[in-house]
Amino acid sequence: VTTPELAGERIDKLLAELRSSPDPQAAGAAEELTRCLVQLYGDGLARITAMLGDLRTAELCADPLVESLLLVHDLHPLAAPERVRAALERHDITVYEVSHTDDVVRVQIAAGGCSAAGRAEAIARAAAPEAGQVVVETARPLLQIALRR
Amino acid sequence: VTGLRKYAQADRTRRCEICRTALAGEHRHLVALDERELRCVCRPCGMLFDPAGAGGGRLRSVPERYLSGGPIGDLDWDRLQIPVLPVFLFENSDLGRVVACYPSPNGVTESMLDLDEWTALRDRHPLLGLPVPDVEAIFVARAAAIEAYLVPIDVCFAVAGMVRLNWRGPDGGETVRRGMAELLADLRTKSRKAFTLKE
Repeated sequence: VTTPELAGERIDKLLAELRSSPDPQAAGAAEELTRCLVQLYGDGLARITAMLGDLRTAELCADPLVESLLLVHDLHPLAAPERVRAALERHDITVYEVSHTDDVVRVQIAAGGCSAAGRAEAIARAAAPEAGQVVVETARPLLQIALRR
Repeated sequence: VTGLRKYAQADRTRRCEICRTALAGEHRHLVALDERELRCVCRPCGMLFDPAGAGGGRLRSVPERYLSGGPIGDLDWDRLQIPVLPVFLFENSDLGRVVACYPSPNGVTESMLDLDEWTALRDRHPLLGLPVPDVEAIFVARAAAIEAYLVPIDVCFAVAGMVRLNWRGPDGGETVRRGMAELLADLRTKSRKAFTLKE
């Protein structure tokens, strides 16, 4: 199963090879070719999602490949904060607040282990690729209850 | 922007229309003679299509020189019977003659030109005979006196675009007036004298 991420990486790698080839113009042509195809399929997906409506499209997003393709083309029916919250909760991260203003998605999660913030950021970034910046803040829970062993 | 997303979005980088490399800020122009259009190109491609370059043919590089002659006397100028200033004149090699155009709110408009009078004026003002056909023009505007400059033809396109976009009211309005004044100031500093005057 391929994903848009893997396909993107593969294309980037091929283009990088062309760029360092003796004929750098080929890289330009290949990039335009990629754009041309991706945009054609994007236009098609836009028609399909428009015909389906938000509810049906949201159901299709249960399939990760469909969901990530819709994200590539900015066609996901849910807004960025909802998507980010859902994705984090799928990974058992407690989410307090998600906001999206001025191209920045700000996420407040419960303090976890050392890598929690970094992991949350990667998840949030993937769920809201249109955001220029993702900021994860860890908030202390209102009550701290330490377990005594 | 990462992954496939960058290919899903329209490419907004300006690219050389010959070799497709990204253009950084300053670039050169070619005149495409068949469409009478400008093409944005990088410096190396610009050189390729210089008059002495390897490209030649129906794509010509716009040179980068600016020259000035002395002012043109009102009486001299009036014999051309061109009603509007500023005006730019260039030789259209396909038509085999000099064309006079002025920027207007409707875009570039051609003005009638008496070619005999033009030839006579050119004999008295040698600057007018210097432009390379199709890619250079004589730009004539009135400040205190009537001033004439040899300019790259893309300058004329830029003026035409500025006038068309900003024209307000019957006389063009403040923005157009300021744009013209800035252009003239720019031409005065950029241009060097085409001839040293002999007494």
